[in-house]
Amino acid sequence: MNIGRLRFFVQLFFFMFLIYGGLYSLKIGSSLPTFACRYNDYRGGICALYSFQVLLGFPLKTLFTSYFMGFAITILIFGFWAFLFNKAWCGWVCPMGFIQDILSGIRNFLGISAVKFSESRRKKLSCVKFIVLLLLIMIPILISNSFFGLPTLPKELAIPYCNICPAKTAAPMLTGNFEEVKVFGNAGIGIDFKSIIKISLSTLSVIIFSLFIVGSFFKKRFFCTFCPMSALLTLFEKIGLIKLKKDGSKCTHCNNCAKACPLDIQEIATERTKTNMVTSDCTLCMKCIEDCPENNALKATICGKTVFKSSAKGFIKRQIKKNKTKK
Amino acid sequence: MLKKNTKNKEKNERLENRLDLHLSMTVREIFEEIDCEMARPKNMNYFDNFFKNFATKEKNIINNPNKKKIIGYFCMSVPEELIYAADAIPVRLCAGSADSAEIGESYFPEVSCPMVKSAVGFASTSVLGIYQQCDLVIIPATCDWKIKLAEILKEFIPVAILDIPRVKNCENSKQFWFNEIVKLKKIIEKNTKKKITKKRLLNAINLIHHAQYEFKRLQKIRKSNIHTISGRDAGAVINAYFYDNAESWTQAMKNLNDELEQRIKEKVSIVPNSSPRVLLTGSPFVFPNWKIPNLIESSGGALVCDEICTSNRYLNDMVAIDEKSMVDLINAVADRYLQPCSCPVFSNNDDRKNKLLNMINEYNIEGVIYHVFKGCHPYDTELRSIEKMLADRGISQLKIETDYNPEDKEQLRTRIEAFLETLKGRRYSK
Ligand code: SF4
Ligand code: SF4
Ligand code: SF4
Ligand code: SF4
Repeated sequence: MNIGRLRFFVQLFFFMFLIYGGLYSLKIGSSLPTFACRYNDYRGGICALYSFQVLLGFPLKTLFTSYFMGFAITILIFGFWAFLFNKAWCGWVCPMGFIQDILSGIRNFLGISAVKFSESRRKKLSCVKFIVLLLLIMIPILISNSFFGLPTLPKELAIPYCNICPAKTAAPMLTGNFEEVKVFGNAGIGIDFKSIIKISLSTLSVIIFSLFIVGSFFKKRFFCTFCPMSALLTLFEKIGLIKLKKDGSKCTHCNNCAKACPLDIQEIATERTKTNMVTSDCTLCMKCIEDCPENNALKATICGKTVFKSSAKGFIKRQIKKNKTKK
Repeated sequence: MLKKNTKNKEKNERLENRLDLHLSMTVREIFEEIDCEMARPKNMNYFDNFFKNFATKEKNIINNPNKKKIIGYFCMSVPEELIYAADAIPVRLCAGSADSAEIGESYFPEVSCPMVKSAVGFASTSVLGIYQQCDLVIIPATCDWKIKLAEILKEFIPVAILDIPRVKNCENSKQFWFNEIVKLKKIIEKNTKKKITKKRLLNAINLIHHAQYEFKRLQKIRKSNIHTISGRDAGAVINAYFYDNAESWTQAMKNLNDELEQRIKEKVSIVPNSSPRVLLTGSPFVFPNWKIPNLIESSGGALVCDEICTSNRYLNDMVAIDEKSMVDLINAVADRYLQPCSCPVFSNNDDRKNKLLNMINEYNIEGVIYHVFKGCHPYDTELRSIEKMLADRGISQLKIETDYNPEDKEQLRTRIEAFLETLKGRRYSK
């Protein structure tokens, strides 16, 4: 089976599992490094960002006493999963990633060519995710702790990222629950200050969700460029067990890999010296390896063992097959 | 006035007759020598026929029973896929005849690329039909000689210049090159009166992928320590691709590769396994100028690999289809013909250095021969940095500066023999 196919089925499996798994009481844990959204009642696991935001919402004093075990365990479990599969969570597991891939697939089926980010634009845009991550950590802390006598942030901002996360809208929707789609929140006539925050958050969430749908229709993995989970997983790019490696001495700079990369990562083609190619935007989808025509220039390894590598023969075979298929 | 014209005509005829005669003689000589070679793969016959036709009276080098349009081109930056997709026949016109270079001499300064001289020699006479049969000739603006060649050839055949950015890896160049390819597509469509549709383009890409599959097989065969095919013949099969239809070529290559693989199994080697493994790089060699590969091999070297645009470099890089919209396909085709190209006209050319080192490693090369045409500035200039790179790594090298003229053959042979001896000596001292 070719690796693109395999990936599709793995993604489909995890999509079903993480979105509907709960229906059959299937659960794989509460701090997964992927968007298994907590707001979906049928979830088959829980997204780590939710757990982190909740825990960071406790006053720091208690966090380091009574809640410490809980906090430590959450981090450890998250770390364990992230260490095991690295960014492959994004390319192979994440249901939101899968939805984006499906949208791109539809676009491709309609014969519309994809929008691409130039290298400089991508570099600029991909900083956003680190800012989002920073806010996602700082806001809960600033709600429950006051520093230097400054006032704390309002409670309505609790779990801030979830309020704008497109998964919070999408995941429940997929199970037939449309409650999260609220333009202007639930606010009635008498808008007070508190509900202004709610209104803005829910409005922002609808905007982000629409951008998510429209963006990833025209641009492959549009949302992933801004995703805070991806930023968090970047911590594991050097130590994760699954790796994407490049042997620059075998690379001809043909640019095939960068063209295939859904995240438009140019580095994968231009890099000559670095060997670890799991960069902060990479999703370990391995499309670059599929499209590389040089023997052993790119490869995926698990614990140092090569599991998939580029080769001239494999390249031509895949290309001939792709040429035959309708789309 | 009339008298002058007839006089010119007579002179031209004499010139043509002489070229015809000399070319035929050169070709016959080459094949007389080849016929004495032992253990040459049988399947070379198919490819030889293209070259043997250089010596026949009619010189029907390309096969065109359906009277398709013929589109000629130079260098390796013109996407053949587009030509095939327009249902035309692509022919690479890079020429290698010392005899025709003599005729082309008057068009260029004294020290200039013999390849362009030879091409003008053929295009200005009707000796080799393919030059004048071309409905269009596409010339990429790779080096200075090529761009002047385009101007000169305009006199004899319709020419389109394909502008090519020489700093490859930057956004602007990519965009520029993409636009050039789109423009070229329109030119080809206009000339052939056939629309290049997505389906046709995909079929053309497929055709060439199949050819490249066999090409890659040959490369792998040549990595073996059993020398199943001479470097000249390996170059010749690719040279034959200039004139052959990709489909028939692929089939013939398949037969050849099968034969060679069988040879590896049976351990049939055409030269002693102890022959030093040599890599040839630099200016191109095109039939009938097989001087350098012939010299290397007749002096006892094993030419197992080359980095030359009329040989290994030509078919090495491949179009990668990702998505199939027309824009994506054109982009993929455009990238294939620019990004990985290691021609010295580009800057910076680390790609070529990297490729050479990788080849040296993969083919177990013991010595590098750098071939420069007198007057070929890009290869000549780049030689210095490559010389340094090889010296830093302790790899033996020999620079050969020559042209198509066979006169310096014996002198070169002495140098090549001496070089090969030192390679052997190095082996023992290790
Ligand atoms: S809303 Fe987003 S961040 Fe929050 S739990 Fe759901 S997927 Fe995770
Ligand atoms: S980067 Fe994309 S695939 Fe990865 S967690 Fe975020 S949305 Fe999912
Ligand atoms: S670099 Fe390769 S593995 Fe990473 S996202 Fe791009 S194509 Fe996928
Ligand atoms: S596809 Fe392979 S050879 Fe081409 S640029 Fe990428 S890594 Fe290099």
